[in-house]
Amino acid sequence: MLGYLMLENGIFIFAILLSAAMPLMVEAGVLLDLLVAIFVMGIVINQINREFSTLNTERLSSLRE
Amino acid sequence: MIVAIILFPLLLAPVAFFIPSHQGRSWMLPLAGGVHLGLALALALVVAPGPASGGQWLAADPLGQLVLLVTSVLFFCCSLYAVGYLIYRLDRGNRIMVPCLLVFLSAMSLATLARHLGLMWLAVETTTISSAPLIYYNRNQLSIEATWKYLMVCSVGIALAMLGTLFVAYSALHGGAPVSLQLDDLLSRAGTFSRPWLHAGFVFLLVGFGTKMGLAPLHTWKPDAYGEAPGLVGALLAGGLTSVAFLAILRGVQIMAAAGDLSLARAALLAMGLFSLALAAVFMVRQPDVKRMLAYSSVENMGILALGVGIGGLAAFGAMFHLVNNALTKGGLFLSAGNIQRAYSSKRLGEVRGALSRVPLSAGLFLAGFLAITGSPPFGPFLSEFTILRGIFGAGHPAIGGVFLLLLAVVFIGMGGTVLSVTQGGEPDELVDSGYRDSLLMVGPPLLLLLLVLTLGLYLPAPVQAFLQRAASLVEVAR
Repeated sequence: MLGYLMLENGIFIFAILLSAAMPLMVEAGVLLDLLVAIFVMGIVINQINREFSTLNTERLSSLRE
Repeated sequence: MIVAIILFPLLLAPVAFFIPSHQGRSWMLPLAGGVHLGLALALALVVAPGPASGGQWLAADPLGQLVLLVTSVLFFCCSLYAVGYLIYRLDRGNRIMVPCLLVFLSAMSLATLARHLGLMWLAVETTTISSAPLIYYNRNQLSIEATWKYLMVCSVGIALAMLGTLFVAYSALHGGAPVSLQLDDLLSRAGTFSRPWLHAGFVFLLVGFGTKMGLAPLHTWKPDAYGEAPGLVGALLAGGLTSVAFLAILRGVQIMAAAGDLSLARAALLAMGLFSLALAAVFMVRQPDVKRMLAYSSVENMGILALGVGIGGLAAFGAMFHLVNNALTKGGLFLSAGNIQRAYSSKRLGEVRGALSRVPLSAGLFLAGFLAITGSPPFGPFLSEFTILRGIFGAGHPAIGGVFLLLLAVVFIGMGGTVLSVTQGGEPDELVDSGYRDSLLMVGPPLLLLLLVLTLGLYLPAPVQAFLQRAASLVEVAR
């Protein structure tokens, strides 16, 4: 999840270059979207913690072909 | 009207959250689905598809209308099914599921009607977020693993799609045109764009939205997510979301076509399409889990769609037709597979046998759906795949056509092994009665979807044909 956040940060710094392309409303909507996304991920992590008693996602490997 | 299509489900979502009765919340779904379908039909019939004026945020062009209509029909049928399904799931409740489904519908509609690439991106990201709780509906270890993988892979994909969108905008800046992400501005000025940035942008768009669509090798979340989600959710993801993601990729193809680089875009789609077909064919053989098998079938059909557009011409028309067929058939397949799972409390091959005797209607529909999706006449997918094949041979690629046929055969054998083993045979002795009975609300929607597919295979009305042709021509010639 940390890697994902860093990726998003990098992309948004790139977006500042093109501030004319993204009108304020869309930019605000994108930020809201990301906030909700992090919120949902936080909930999922919480549930993982509850189910597996650990935040080590390497334990999530039971789904196989 | 366009704004109503998007806003109505969105505004109904918080209303549904606060309704106290379980059944009342369930009935919000067909209400939203019905209104949405009516508006989508009105939009397709009333609005003449002409070039949208520059600077418009929302407009319905033929491609958008096609995906919107398909998604709407699928959602309506799934919403009727949901009313029956949720009666069986009183233990889990539907306080989260119904609002999430409504937001999901609204976001998909927005993605089809957006004329600004940033807005379209926003809508697709919203579908990711709103579908994650839906996959997690069963709340066990397996579904949380599936949800986690889905969130991670799709979020990275969406981030790459954003990067692609920004690269496209930068290519405009580099080329000297004023920066804008309005699709119509991009299409009219694409000739001046800086090529390297545009190509890089397209590749990122393809990879990013291809993740959501489920093209190989970006499909890794699909078997897990479709496998652990309820059948209803699987149907909407496989039929609706993949179509919307494909539309997003097609917008990129439109821009490339306008810039004169359609051949590069087509080559990329062709390569990914063939790879998806091959990978799906391999993984579908001896697949012991019914829903995972359907997920690989979805990867296969997405490969067929990419292949169709990658060849172009008649094959692109076939791809548009296949989009419709795939969405409706997947709906029928997932809903009937969900019924079978309800009856057997399992979806693995060892435990599910003899479904034709236990739940004859659902198993019959499942069998029919299998025949349809693998391309047996007289169902719709046979015609669309045949059209794509004609397009491939007509464009002078006999090798690709041969490989396509071979992979379709492998898929048929692989899928047939699982489906026949599920439906035929005798029931296992240890089968406990799970209390599930085939009822109108559970069997009607998949039946309706498969009848639609059958009708499309037997008779394609001229207006529908013209509609599909209009959509296909948008990814054809440079505007």
